Amino acid sequence: MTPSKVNPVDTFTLQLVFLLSTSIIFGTPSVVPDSWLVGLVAFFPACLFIVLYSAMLSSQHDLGLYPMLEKAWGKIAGKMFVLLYAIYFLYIAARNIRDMIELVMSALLRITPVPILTSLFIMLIAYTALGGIKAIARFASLILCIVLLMLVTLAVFLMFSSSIILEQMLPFLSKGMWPVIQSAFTHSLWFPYGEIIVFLVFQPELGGAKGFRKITLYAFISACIILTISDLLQIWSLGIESKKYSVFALLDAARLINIANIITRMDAVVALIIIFGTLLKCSVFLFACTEGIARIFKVKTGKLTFPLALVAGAFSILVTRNSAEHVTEGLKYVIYTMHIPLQLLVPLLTLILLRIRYRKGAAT
Amino acid sequence: MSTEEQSLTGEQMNSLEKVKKQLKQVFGETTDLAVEPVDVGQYKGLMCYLTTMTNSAFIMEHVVKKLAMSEHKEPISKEETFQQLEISAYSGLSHQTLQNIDDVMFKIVLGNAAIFIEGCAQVLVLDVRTLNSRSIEEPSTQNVVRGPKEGFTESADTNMSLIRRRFNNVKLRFEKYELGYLTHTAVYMAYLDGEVDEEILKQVRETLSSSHIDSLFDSGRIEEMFHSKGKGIQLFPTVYSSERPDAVCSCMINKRIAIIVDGSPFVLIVPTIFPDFFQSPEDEYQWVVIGVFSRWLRYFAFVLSLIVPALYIAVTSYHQELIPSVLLTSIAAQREGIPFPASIEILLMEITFEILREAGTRMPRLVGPTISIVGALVLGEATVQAGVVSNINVIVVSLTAISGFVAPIYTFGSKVRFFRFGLILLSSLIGLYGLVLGCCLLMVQLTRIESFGVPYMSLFSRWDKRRVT
Repeated sequence: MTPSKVNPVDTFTLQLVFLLSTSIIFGTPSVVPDSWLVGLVAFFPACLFIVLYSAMLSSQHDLGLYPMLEKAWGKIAGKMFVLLYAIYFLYIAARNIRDMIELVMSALLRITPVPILTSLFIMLIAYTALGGIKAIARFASLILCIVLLMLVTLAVFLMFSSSIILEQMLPFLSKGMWPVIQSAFTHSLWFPYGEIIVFLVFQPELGGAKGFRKITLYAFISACIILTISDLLQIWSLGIESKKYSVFALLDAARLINIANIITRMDAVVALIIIFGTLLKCSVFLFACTEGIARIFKVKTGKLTFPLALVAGAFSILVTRNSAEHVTEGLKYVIYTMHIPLQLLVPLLTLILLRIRYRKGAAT
Repeated sequence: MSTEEQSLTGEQMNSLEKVKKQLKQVFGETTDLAVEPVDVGQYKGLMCYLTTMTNSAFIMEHVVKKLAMSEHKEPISKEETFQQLEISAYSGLSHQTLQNIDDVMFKIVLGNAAIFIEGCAQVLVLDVRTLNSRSIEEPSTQNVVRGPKEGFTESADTNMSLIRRRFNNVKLRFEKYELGYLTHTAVYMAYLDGEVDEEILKQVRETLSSSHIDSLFDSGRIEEMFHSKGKGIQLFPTVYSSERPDAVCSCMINKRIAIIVDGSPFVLIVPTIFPDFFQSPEDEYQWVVIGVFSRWLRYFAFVLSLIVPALYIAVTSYHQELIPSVLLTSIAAQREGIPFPASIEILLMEITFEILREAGTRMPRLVGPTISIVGALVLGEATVQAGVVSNINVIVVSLTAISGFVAPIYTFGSKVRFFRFGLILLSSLIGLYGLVLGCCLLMVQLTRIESFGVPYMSLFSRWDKRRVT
């Protein structure tokens, strides 16, 4: 019995669940035939994120993202960037809430008013975020067990209801490697892998650059494997064509389960996976956002959590008019206008600035 | 000048009359105060004690017989007499020499006998406390089939000896605290020195010594004190209490602190983590597979007792498509003609069960069978036959009720039982989504709580290299 510190295993599970949560159902865009390869291909460039971010951390003695930005860009510009990142995190949280609500609307509750669903959910998110990163990490390990258990159950049940047909993944690479690589670079690289940037905010608490390099690499590898398996499951059970046109492919795969007419509708299980995962992901983003806002306006973090959660909830409803618009926005515009600049360009510039302004040997 | 000096020495030299007066002033007319003139060697003395805190045979045997000091024939001074008493006559008894009359009074209340000698400033205080207490019996909660049958009693001394005889170890420490400014109840903190984390030890000490309560009759009060120290709302109990010495000792081996309250057979353990409540001491005494199996069974039953009624409501009233068709038909056939919706039906039966349980625990033992007959026959059988509730409802409620009692610690079960009502409410409002959100809330709460800085639930803590446990 010793007082708590953040356990590296918990950090790992936190990052893994973070990577898996929404991408397990929305992750790989189904527009290309061999979508399961996309995840695998995207993994290798994604490792560059680890290199970039850990270089940032180690150059500044494990400072968090926000103080690092202020240090690199100066007081005013730095604050602007902090605000930008806080809003970015809040926006992603709002998008994730919307994703989850779309799924719940289509799988569980068709006529319940959206504001009710959202407001209950955001209250839960705020409560989770209030616990701090340590509590969120412990919660993640709980969620990981449940999610993995459910995925394995799904796979086994699909197998027993003889829905898995390996031939469905053929034709393999019918259009060559190019569309796969293109899709990897335009989609999967930024979401989910690039979103790991949010952990830079908490990294001082989670073990610094050294821990980040190792743990995040493991998390990336595990996430890549699990996502690929889940994609393969979807393709084997649904076939390439119907996976392409299904919005929630894992959900549709789960609908195929039928064992002796007793275990029939497993879509609720998938919905559970998504709700758990989204809860965790949103609370991580919300916590990062509150840290940023609190830093700029010099308020206590705890006071901001509920108001910002409300903003995220309202934003999730107002951000797009319908599901189709939401998906297009997510796959196209967000990536080019937000993910690429904020996940790659700004960190890269920050790193260069830091290197120039604080050379080796100079007082940091 | 000289008269003043005399009066001063007169005050210091306790004249027996004055002592008597003072005793009367403090204790009033209480009947259990014995103030008896005795002969101490060649001098006059006074012995006083509370008859309710000792027994007269003990006083006769160990105190009065030795007072006469018949072996000293030649005259000796008062001081020498006093020393003789202290060194040779009462060397076997725990004794103290006090000067201040207020301290002496307080000692008398605690069950000591005070011996005053005419004209001597010092007072000899002997520990003659012999209290009647329940003999060591089998514990009434936390029963085991295999394992030691001793249980703690209401006497803290007995309890400490039960712990001490299991640890033949010089590192075992007992620290005494007095809590309650009206009752001065003795509270002991037991731990293995060098094993327990200093930070936790400091926190416990601070809590115990900074308490401002008037009375303390059971360790439950301290449990609440520790529990409310944690920040935020804590839905789960963070202090473990046990009636079994073997359970407490095995916790102390694992770097915990035990807190023994005089007058309570329940010994507290801090810090506590979630898995403790699913651990029966018996698990360690059997084949390891059986132990692990029953522990997981308890976890399963715990989850079952929480979600089964809520799940039933959510599925039957919102998501009928999730039920296999055969089962759905059978449920629908049973619910044919039932006037209430599923949620009201469940709530009705759950509340009935709670009433039965409350009646069952509080009523005199003799009327016990009446309640079971009324409960089983009238409420179970007749309500179904009358068509007020459906059969499946009775199955759901009774399954929940039985699983709720699987947790080896009763207090845990009784606290957790209330969450069921919250989940029932949520799932009857927004179906499965509400149930999932409710479960999430409980899980978040579980992982947020810390008991003295130790995370209440941390799945992978055993793989943490830095952990010392």
